[in-house]
Amino acid sequence: MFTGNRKLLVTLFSITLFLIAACSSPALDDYSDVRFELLNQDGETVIFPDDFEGSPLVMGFIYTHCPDICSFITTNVKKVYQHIDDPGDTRFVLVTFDPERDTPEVLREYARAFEMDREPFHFLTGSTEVIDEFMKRVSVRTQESYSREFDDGNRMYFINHSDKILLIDQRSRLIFDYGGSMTPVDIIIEDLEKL
Amino acid sequence: MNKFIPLLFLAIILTTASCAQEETAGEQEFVLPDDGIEIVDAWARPGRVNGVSAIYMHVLNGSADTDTLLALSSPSAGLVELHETFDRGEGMMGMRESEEPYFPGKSVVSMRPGGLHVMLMQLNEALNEGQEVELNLVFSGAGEISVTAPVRSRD
Repeated sequence: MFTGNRKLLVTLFSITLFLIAACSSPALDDYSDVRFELLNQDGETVIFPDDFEGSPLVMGFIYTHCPDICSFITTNVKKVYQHIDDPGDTRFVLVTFDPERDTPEVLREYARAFEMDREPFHFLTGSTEVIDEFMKRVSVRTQESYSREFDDGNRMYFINHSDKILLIDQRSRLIFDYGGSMTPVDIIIEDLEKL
Repeated sequence: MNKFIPLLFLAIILTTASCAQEETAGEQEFVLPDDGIEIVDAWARPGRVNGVSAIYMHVLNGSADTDTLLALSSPSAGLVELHETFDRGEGMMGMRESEEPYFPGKSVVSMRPGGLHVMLMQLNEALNEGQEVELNLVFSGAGEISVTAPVRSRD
């Protein structure tokens, strides 16, 4: 009788472990071994992922001279925050892939225009070299297009880019990778609530 | 004689309803103007000084002929163009100036996020939520039309 119960317990325990493993989302990538020195909209140094460890991250990629699709991505990140019942420690991050124009000051103004110039929103930029490496690491592709020179010497250019929002867990692991402008916010919220 | 009056009213209502031209764009239905171009539901994205913004709208062309957008201007921007966002494939998105500023007769062209939009560049003022931005459009047939678009970050 005792042996039978023990066998049953072991079986149930194994099934439980199997179900936990099956129900957990497998990590798509792990950023815990990287270190990128970035700047936030206030010009303060931010280390990714160290400074965010312990908090889930909803991270989008934008450049501020893109009013259509990047505004869409920015708004989607904002909507996740607005619509989730309890954001807890979650941080909502937008990283530019156009550091040449998107200085901390520019990002601060952009954040203000979208009424996101407050916690838990973070807008990040950095040196061109660091941003390039960062974008490679998170698989965001960019390519300059549509360049135009103005009479005053200023140059206007647009960038073809990946359309992405990432969901990164408390242990700096990439859990989900969404089409940034296309994915319904409810899906991101549902996934975020599982973390 | 009096019993015919309600029937007469009914006939008038049915005739009026059947004469109004309805056009569907996406899930929305619009009543086209009798003639010329009408612009409805214009709104603009927020933008910062020296930055960019986008204006979206529905363009209702009630005339029988295709109309062409010849020029765009705004007191809030140094440069205004008709742009379109396009999918380059493999998750890459791009943006370019639209080469087809045409608005077919008896139809609606909708400018929505992720597609056709009016691009405001070199903004000379910040466009924040709750503000308004003025846009002037010049069509070959309908002539000059001015619209005022409220600024909002939501769709």
